[in-house]
Amino acid sequence: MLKGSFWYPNSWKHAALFAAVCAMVVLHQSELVGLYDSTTILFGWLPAQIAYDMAFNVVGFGILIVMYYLAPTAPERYESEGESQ
Amino acid sequence: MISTTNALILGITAVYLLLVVAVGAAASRITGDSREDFLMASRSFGTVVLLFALFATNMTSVVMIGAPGLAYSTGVSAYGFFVSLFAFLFPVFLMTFGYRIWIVGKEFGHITPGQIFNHRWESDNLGLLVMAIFTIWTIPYILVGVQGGGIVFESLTDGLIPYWLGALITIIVVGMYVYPGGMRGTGWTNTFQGMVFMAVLFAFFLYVPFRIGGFGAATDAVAQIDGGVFLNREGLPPYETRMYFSQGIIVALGAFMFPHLILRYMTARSFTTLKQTSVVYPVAVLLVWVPTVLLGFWGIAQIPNLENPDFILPELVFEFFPTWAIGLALAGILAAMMSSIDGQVLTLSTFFGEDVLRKFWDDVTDAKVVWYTRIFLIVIFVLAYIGALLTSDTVVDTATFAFAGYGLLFVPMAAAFYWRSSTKASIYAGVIYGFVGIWAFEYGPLPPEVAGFHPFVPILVTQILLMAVVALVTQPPSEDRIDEYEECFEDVW
Repeated sequence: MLKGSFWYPNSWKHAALFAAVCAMVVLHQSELVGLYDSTTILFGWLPAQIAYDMAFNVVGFGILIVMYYLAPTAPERYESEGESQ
Repeated sequence: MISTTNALILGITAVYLLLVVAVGAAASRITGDSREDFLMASRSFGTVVLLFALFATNMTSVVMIGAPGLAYSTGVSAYGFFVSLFAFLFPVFLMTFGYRIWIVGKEFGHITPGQIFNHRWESDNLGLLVMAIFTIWTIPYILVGVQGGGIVFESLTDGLIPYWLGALITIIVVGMYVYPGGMRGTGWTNTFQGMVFMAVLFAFFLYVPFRIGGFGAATDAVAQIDGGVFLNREGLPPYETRMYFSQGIIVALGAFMFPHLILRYMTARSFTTLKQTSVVYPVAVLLVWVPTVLLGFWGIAQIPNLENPDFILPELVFEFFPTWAIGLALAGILAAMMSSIDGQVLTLSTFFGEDVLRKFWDDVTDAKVVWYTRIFLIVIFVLAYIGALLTSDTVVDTATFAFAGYGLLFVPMAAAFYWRSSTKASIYAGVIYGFVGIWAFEYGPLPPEVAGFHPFVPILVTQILLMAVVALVTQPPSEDRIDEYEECFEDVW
């Protein structure tokens, strides 16, 4: 059940994707880029802390797009049944 | 005597509520009496409806009141603390774990998590326990939504609609579209209400700083306070590294395990629908949460010393918006409240119909299940209303506690899909341990944090260890049953 799933990758592409997801959990901590006590304001109005968090989600969006294309095709019986409705 | 101002506000709000009921009525026209159609909309939701069904239900009561309230109390880091990790991990889970949930729903006709637990581990009563725990965590969350409806009505009509009447109106309107329309009624109204509250939110986001003097002026005013303490995480205990990590994990696991969302994963038309929803999800979260957090953040300097931070968004609206716009604002905030309550109430009713009626009443027909589900809906509405008159918790506090409770069902449920040698006893142990553990930390003699982490983290780790040990010494289900599931997941993430 676990082997071959996303959480137990069996190819280098999937392993890289899994590693990217794990890296995101670590990168959630904004102090890794020195923002824990930052009072920097970007563009005159956007605090750096929330700018980082927004960028974090934009990167996440990119990873999800890669996941979208690398995800295995759904078994035909499920997909064809669903699309026919 | 009703003033012109209040008449205008109430008129706009009434028109909005009628529109919501009309959308629900349209959905109910094509909703049949079959259980599959009433409870699951015949598993036919496309990407847009599924996105809003998940998003509007998941985000709204917390985002419109809780997020600005949290930012008002603790500053701009509220976004990263509460939602940024969730916005990434939730879609990852949806595309993997959620996909497997969707498959077993299709393959075996499951509707509730309880049915999955019973079937996967060949149990008679494990599902009932899971249903009871899901229900216990959901009830306070419903109360907060109803309470929020009462608060905004009273606040934005300047007391003309008192709290008790505002909460009652909220309940009745939700009942008018959930009762006849079932899952399709909630899906369609969620789409409509999700669009309304997003539009209203963007209006808040642009207009409030415009009135203050621009985005720069609004931020500068907060940056002057105590050397910019609200600009970062330093010195704020919830934002220290380990607690910050804990909160991210709690929300990501907990929100994925919302029972009303688990049901909706199974309403997707296809895997492609699930994938598309997953990809768009973090963008939707970002578009909604950033404005609400910044509004609460800007409110620190504009309306200082609010006794209850949850009131900051209504107070900003009242302070800065023209009268006619307050009606629209009220409609937008109510959209947020109602699109959460509907899914939660329908889910508890579905649990009752599926995990109790169909489980323990041999000859019950589909039509009777739907009928009793509707009766149960009314019972929950009445209980929720009474509860809303009695409760006084803040949104974020209640949400975090409930998220932790849901999150401790994550591993037991994941075991159904990823852990071949898990056993019925190991799942019982994990479910009960998680439930008792989180209550013991919250209200019992155990400390409120462990080595800087929220209690959720050590409970989660020890829960996994306990389940592993129990699984080693107890009997797994039959090979046939395990093989049935394993076959479903061939070449599936």
